Amino acid sequence: MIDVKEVLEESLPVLTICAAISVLSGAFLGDNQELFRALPGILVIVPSFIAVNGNISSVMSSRLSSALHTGLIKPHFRGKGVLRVNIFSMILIASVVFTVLGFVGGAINYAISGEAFSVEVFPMITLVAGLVTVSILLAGSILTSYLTYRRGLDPDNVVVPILTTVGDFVGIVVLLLIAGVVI
Amino acid sequence: MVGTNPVWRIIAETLPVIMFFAFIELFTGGFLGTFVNDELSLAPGLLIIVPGILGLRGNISSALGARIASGLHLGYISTRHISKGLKKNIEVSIVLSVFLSFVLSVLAWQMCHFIGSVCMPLMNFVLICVLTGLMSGVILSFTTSGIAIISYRKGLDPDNVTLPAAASIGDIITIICLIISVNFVVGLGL
Repeated sequence: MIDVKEVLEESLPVLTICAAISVLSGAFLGDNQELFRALPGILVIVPSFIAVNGNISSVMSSRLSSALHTGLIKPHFRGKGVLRVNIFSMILIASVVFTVLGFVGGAINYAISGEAFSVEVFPMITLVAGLVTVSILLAGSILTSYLTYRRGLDPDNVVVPILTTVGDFVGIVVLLLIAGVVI
Repeated sequence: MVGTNPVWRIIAETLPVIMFFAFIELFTGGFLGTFVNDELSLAPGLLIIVPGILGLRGNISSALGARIASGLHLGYISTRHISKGLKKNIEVSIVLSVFLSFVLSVLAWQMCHFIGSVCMPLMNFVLICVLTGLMSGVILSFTTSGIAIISYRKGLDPDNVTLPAAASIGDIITIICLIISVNFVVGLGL
């Protein structure tokens, strides 16, 4: 049965921390309004971009935690054939999705602003920004999975909300920085 | 699970799902894109709220979905009538949503001044956030419960269906609620 007080006590601190971190992401969005006026397509792809990053890192985390629990991999960093297969797959998936997202973003940008960039500008921004972000998040999800597993904690309650919120922040900062550099 | 699958199988199973939700999220982005022209001039500082209000909804809805799924599996939530367990879960989710929206609005207002950009008054931040939190909280609590219960009735595992569905629907509903709230609050002319 649900205990209202317990749920509130467990959720409030974590969710308040998440709200504080996400305000930092928001500050970055708010600070780049000029960029969005110049390139409206970038703002349109922001939710997709951060959702893809979040999905890839949560798929990775849940696959890792299943593998750790079943003993398929051990929580240390030597001789990791299995781990390498997973990292490779996630990077490959990310490359495909971010390239497609880039072409869509470019098309939307053209539809909104009427200003045509050469075809490769948007895919280049999303691919480079996406791969940088995904690499950081994969490293983060491997590290936190190993550490929490070694300490015998369940990562679902605290680590996942904070990791996804930090992931949004990293994604927004990297995307806007690289878009700013390209423009 | 890591390891039993070769690379191609991981990709074949994961890529379509991730691609699908990337496209769903483009609708959220489409609404967000209209901000640059309309809502931003009405409500300066609004963009600072966006990641927070979307993230909040995601966290609260997925926790709700997971708890309802456990409740259905354990049998303290029924698919036949509105049980007390379900009511309490929905209540908690709406209370969390409204309270954390308030916290978010105050943090966002402070951040807006900290980065030195043009800001609407604190009252507008609070009203816009709390109204969005309330509307999206009510709509999405019922939607999430509905998806969980219907999928359980059809013999599906609500754990697998509810979370991704609630997350993608959640972002779109929340951004629409945000736009409605902004126009309503600005219309009040405080």
